[in-house]
Amino acid sequence: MAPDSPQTSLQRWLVWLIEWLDLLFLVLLVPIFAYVYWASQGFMLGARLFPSYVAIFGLVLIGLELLRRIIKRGVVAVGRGPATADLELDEEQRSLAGYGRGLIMFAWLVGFYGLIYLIGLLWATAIFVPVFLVLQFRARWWISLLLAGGLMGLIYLLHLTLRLRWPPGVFLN
Amino acid sequence: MLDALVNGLFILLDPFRMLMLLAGVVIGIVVGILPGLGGLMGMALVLPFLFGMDPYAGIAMLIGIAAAVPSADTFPSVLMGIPGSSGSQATIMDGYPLARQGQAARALGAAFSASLVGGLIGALALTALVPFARPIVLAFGSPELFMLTLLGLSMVGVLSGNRPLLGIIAGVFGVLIGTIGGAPVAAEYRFVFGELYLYDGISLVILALGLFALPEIIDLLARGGAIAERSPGLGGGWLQGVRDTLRHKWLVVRHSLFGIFIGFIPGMGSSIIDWLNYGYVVQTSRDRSRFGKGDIRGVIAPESANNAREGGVLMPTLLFGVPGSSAMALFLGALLIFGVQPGPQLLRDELDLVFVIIWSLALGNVFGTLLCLLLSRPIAALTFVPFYYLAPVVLIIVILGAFQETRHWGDLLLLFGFGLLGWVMKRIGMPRPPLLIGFILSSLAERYLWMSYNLYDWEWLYRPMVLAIGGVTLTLVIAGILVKRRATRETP
Repeated sequence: MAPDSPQTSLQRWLVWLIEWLDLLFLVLLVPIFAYVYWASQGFMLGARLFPSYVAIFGLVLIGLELLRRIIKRGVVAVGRGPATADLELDEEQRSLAGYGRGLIMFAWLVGFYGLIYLIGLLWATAIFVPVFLVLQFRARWWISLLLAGGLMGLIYLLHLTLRLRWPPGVFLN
Repeated sequence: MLDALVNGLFILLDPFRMLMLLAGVVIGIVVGILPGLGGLMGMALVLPFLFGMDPYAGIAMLIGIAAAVPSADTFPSVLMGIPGSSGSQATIMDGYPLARQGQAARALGAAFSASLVGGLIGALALTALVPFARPIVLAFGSPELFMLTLLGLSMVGVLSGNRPLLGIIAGVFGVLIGTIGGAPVAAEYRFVFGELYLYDGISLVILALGLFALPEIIDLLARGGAIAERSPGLGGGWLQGVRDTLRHKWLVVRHSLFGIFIGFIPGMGSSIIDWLNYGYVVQTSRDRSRFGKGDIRGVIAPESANNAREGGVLMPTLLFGVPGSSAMALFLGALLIFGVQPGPQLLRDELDLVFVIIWSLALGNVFGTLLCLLLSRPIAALTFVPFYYLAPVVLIIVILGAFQETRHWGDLLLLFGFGLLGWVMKRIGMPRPPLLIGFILSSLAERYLWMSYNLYDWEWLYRPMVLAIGGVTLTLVIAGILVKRRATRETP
């Protein structure tokens, strides 16, 4: 068998990370709950009582869930049962490729945030919407420009009618 | 009581309030059609724009959204075999085969008329409950109300995900997020790390938009494309569908009542109600041969239950301040924003408002059904618009809405942070609604706990009603797990 390429190792590591993400998330909650309990002890009784008990309760529950995972030896029970608000994600969306596509969208969002920080929401919309639609989705440029213009109009209209403010930029407001 | 009922109608008939109700219905229809964007998302989107608005108008708008979503989500279920929301999954079983047989209009006609009757029965049941519930609710003290918040939290945690323990952990995490900022019963700021921005606590709007709106936008964009690729055609037979509903009128009544009953139990999600009703109609029918192949009863039963459920979920929300569903948790938060305290105080001091809500529910159902029937062709066309053209519109509204909270960059950073949290939670199968509900109930629960402790020390734990509610909580949690397992088994 040929030795693993670095890319394959990285992919394998990422797949492992995805598989254990729920456990990692739970473990990350432990210091948060523990901190809440520890920090609460410095408050006066009225402010201490509730968060202290909630933190202890949370730690007990996390302990129980971790115990359950150990007993079940890491069997993940993500079934097809209905949830309250979510439509179930399909397996493809839970795969490495699915995560990757989602993270690319988050990266676009970070870019949008950066633009907002620099030039404010109004002008950031004018630039981001056409660039995002054309580069990411190969959308028709004239529809994208029309949409960007419409959105700028909407933001301005909301500002005029409801007195809404948009996030200002460092260089443009 | 009758005075309040009539007053409620006259308050709502104000043109601006009616306009807001209608606007809510239109928004409800749009978010109902787009898979992944349900009533919760719709409410989260409009919530930032309601600050400073006339409370009756704002509440009418939110109820309009809640009333219209269960009707509108039928479009993609019947036409494309894709659930518009988690509450219209079972409708696909017979609605989609009917559409493939060229009877889409018949299926939609039956679904909308059943939805209308179901919604009206839900509103009627809520009206009928108020006189009976009022003396009971008014007798509750802070220990009982604290226990009820625990009941709501545990039920939602248990029922809203595939792993009950994870659901409760999410709820507890939400409670902790709710403790950030000024303590409600002591002059102390908690977990603010010296940041002035956190002194007022985390905003409900930002949490809801981040947890629910951003992850859906990201996932729908990542999926790409439109909801439907080709026009399935509506065909004719609208009146035939309405006649089907009339022919099965007792089925509509039975499943509406069943929907109200199940909806009353906090945490019983719309998908659970949907599948339970589908299973129920199949089991109780003599001729089962057509189910799954295009039996109109398979459309009528879940659709009537779905709309009636809204009346059911409003019951614990209004009477006890315990949200019956995640969308109702947001509605509860909106009530608090408007300065309205749900529970005994609402029934004692603001009965008119209770009836405004009930009238909004009834009229919202009527408007929703009429709009769905009259505008069915353009509404169906909306499903062919690629989501990437809709996403920037939703994203701008989300960002603009979040920024109205304090007009500080912290709003946008928190929005992003909660968006990422919601996206990860969605992926690891940790239900998000309990987190939101825990957050909303946090300050209420803390106040009730402190009042109980102050008045009775720990003796309040031995009060008969407290013990009774504790027993009911345990029973319902166990029963809930069993019902959920059954519903999961019936999910094809």
